[in-house]
Amino acid sequence: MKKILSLVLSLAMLLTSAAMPAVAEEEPVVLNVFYATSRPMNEATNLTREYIKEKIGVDFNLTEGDGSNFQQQLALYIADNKMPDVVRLDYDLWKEYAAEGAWADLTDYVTDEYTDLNNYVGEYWTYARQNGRIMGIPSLSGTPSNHVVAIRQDWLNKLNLEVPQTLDDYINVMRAFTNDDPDGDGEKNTYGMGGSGTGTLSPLFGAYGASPDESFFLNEDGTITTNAISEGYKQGLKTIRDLYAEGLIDPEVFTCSNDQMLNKWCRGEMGIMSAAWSRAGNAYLRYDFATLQPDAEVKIILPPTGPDGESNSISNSPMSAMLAVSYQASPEKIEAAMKLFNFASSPFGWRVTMYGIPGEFFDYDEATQQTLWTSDLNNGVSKSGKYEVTDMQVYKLFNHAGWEAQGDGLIDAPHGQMWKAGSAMRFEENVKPNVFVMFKTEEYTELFGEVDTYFRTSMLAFIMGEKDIDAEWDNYVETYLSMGGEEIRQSQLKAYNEAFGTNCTFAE
Amino acid sequence: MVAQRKLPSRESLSYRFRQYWPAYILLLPVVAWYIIFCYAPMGGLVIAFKKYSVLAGIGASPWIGLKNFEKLFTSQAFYQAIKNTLILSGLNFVFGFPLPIIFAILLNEMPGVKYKKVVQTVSYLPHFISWSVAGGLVYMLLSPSTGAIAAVVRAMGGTPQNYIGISRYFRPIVVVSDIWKSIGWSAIIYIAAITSVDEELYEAATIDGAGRFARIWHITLPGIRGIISIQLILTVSKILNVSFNQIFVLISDLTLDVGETIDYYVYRVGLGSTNNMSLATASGMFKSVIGLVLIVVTNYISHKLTDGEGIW
Amino acid sequence: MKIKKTMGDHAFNAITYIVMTFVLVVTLYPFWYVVVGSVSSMAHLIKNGFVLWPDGLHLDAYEQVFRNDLVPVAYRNTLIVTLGGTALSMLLTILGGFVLSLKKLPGRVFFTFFFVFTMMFGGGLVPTFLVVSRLGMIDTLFALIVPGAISTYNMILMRNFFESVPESLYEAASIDGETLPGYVFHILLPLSGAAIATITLFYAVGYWNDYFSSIIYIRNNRLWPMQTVLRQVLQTAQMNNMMYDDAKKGVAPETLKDAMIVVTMIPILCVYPFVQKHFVKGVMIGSIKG
Repeated sequence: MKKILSLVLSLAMLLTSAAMPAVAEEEPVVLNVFYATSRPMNEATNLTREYIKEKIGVDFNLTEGDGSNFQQQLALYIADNKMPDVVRLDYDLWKEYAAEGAWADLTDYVTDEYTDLNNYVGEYWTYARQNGRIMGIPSLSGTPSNHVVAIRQDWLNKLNLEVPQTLDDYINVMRAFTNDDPDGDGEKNTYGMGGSGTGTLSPLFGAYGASPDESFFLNEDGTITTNAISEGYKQGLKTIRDLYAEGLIDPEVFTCSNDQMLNKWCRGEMGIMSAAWSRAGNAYLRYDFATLQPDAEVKIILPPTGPDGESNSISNSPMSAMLAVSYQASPEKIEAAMKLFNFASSPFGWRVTMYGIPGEFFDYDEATQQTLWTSDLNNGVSKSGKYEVTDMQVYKLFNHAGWEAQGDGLIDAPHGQMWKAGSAMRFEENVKPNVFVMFKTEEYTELFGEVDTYFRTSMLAFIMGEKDIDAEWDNYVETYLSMGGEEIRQSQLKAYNEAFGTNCTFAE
Repeated sequence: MVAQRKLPSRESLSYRFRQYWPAYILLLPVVAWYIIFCYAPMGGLVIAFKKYSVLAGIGASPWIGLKNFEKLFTSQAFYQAIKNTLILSGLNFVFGFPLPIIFAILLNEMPGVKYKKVVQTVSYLPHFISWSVAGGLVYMLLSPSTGAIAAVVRAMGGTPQNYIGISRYFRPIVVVSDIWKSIGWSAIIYIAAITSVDEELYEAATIDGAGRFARIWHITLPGIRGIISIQLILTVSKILNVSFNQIFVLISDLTLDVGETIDYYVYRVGLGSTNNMSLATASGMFKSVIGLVLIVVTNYISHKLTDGEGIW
Repeated sequence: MKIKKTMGDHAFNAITYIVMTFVLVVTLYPFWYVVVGSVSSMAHLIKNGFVLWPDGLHLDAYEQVFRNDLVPVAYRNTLIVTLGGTALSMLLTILGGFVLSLKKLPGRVFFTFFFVFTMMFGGGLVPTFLVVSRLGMIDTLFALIVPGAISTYNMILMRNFFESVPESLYEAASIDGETLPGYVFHILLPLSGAAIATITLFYAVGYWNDYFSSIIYIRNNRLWPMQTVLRQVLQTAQMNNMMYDDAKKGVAPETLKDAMIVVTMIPILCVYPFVQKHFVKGVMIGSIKG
């Protein structure tokens, strides 16, 4: 009896194991997509997935990664040999894994038939290559800078001031905002400028053609300026030190978080908010700003122009993320992934991934390539009233600042104009790109952590007057270079020259 | 002599084995759990000596000897981080260790059962508030524009400063906020221990005319000595650990000089994920070795001082 | 028995009351702040910072929390993990703690060191994950229970409590024909109410608050515990802060976050009073002697 039973069992096992591959072949390809999102998936997002599946014949499911533990989660997938088919991750991490051979080679799959994808990526294929092969699809940030300046127009009116343009204008306005009681409560409780972190200083450094980070700028004569040790940066430091000492900049600027910054803005503690567009550009939208500052009028303005006519806004990395396909993926899966990428990067498909199914969440005008909205959507519900509009963006694989900048859903709303203006301002600002931003060399990975900390802590020490700029400058430059700054920038210069076939040298 | 050797003494090993053998069976699942979930993964510690590649796996990643340790120990910032960690742990030890004990004893001495229970229950609430939320409250308290401390300073005619961004205030902020968050939770174990102190002893002492402090000193404290010494040994052995989450929410570039701990340092300099894992393992191993030495030494000292109290 | 109160006693009591009331206020506030935040308008919170009272009773945030279809499932998961996990942990911890408390057990020091060593040295994330994966526990609730089933610290505490029970009791019991497990469950445990209650609390709170395990071991969001859903709500709140006009929709993300914290916290807070019942003086040793 026992023998028979075991025989039957082993036979059954044999059969099932033989049948398994056959079954698998018949099954349609299902892509497993993994990226960090914290947008809740629900009925409405499911409908969107079904819609995409119907439209392009690719089935996929999304595994949500955790915002702050994404790297670990991905590492565990890989260590466990269960890599997701498609991964959306940041550029540096993509590069690191590309060097290890974690991604499928897409070079032969990127053909002309994927017009939308080719249109979308354009000149940026260069950055998606590892040893000459395309190892991923870039999701572009689309704006040279993300930093904008918001100002309280009502305070300007009250104090009879013009919108500031030059650095001197800015300083005058900041002084008036600090000392002349713009909120009229009889107390000296306002600051000229506020923000969160050193990025806040971008417009002030920008007036000297510098920035509050370790950018490398390409000059017209083909030389490259190292911002961290440049004369412009030094001049910027001096000005900011004086403004800080005079009390025109919110002293909490280097310690408060973005949320705390916005709370301060809502309480009317600052006249100028210098921050990322998603914050400063939304200055109207956040919280109960309108409730707390009923008379407020906000404008998005250009950063100041400095004594030598310079103006700069801290630059954005051109890549916001990379989409890569697992090296374990079958050719069928790679094909499916390419179809999905092509759809998600098309003007129409992008809207679907961003807003949800057409007809319910938006309408699209093919001719003008514009998203059309109804007033329901402005109130946060879909046309049938069944879904919330905030449920969307779950399947957004690609960024597109230009499309986003249409200000779509908010055009009808009173603050929609501001959204548009703020977004558009990003394209009007003068931005010197960081030309080394994509060249994360081995030296960079090894040393940047320490060097960057030295850079940032020194910046703060100079600004707060703990270190004397004139006396300590040479010492600072020497330390900066000797602790790894020199190694990093030389290795990056080499990589840059190799990639573009140039012969650039450093300006200093 | 011969006869003595043959007779099984009640203290002899073989007698004890015979008496206690079922205990080993009871211990079996526990030992099995430790082997599977603690000792089996310990092989992974080798990545401290490797350039770990997730894709290649632990085994196939190339050996790089002591490079990761070299990177740590040639960095000036790492020494500063060790120093900061030791100072913060030291302060936490001096203030944070005795306070829950004092709190538990005071609670025990309190008349009024209901109020006592309320205090006890409420005091452990902050344990359930995550550091990201608690950190926001600390920030609010210290903010020069809206903070309560700023209001007091202003009322006294002073000019409030941005306290959270000033190095000399950072350590007190960390220590006080940690005490605030953990005092009730840490006291629970002492409260439980005090309940096991024999009530008769108190009554006898009172009849002998012992005052309140005498009773605490001679009865309560000796009664919970075992728990205290265990806590003490474990706290000392964890001297290189300071809550990462707490530091993470409170620190800024302005306070890096005094606030950067070992874990924060590793977090900050480990840029790439794979690079980070090897470095984190190396620093973790350094902390483990120090911790092991400390636990052995303090356990030995505890044995000497208290005739037999200790972890083992 | 009546103890005569002296002046010093009164002064001592007064000071104790003052100190305790201070502790009470200071430790109650963060929780109170979250509760107030969950029913207040955002404008009220931003404007006043340290609020003492809400500006009304806005329950929209709670409505939204319970509209999230992950919440009921997550509650169930958390309950299963907390109950099942605590039971398993207590079983293993009592076994380990008891055996280690036998002073004459050959190999006692070795085993103690064998366990304590793991408090210092751990294998790290990847190897532990691989072990859990080999055991087929990924994407099951077992992964949230078994890998963290024993806390060595708790086991040492448990041992210490057991040690205060005289070993002669075991010897006497074994002469009476009681087996070792029988001794543990019939004699030792009933004597250790406070210890059992305390360690149970430690484990239950640990399981309840754990979010990291599920981030690492669980991919299917239907298996998420409350803490992970709370995290998701928090992160979504942050994102919505940036992108959308929340004032119009009634629920500010911060308020939603506070409501979620309250909903996640309340059940576990209710455990403590049950534990406190066991903190009655003199149960343990007194009853042995009696």
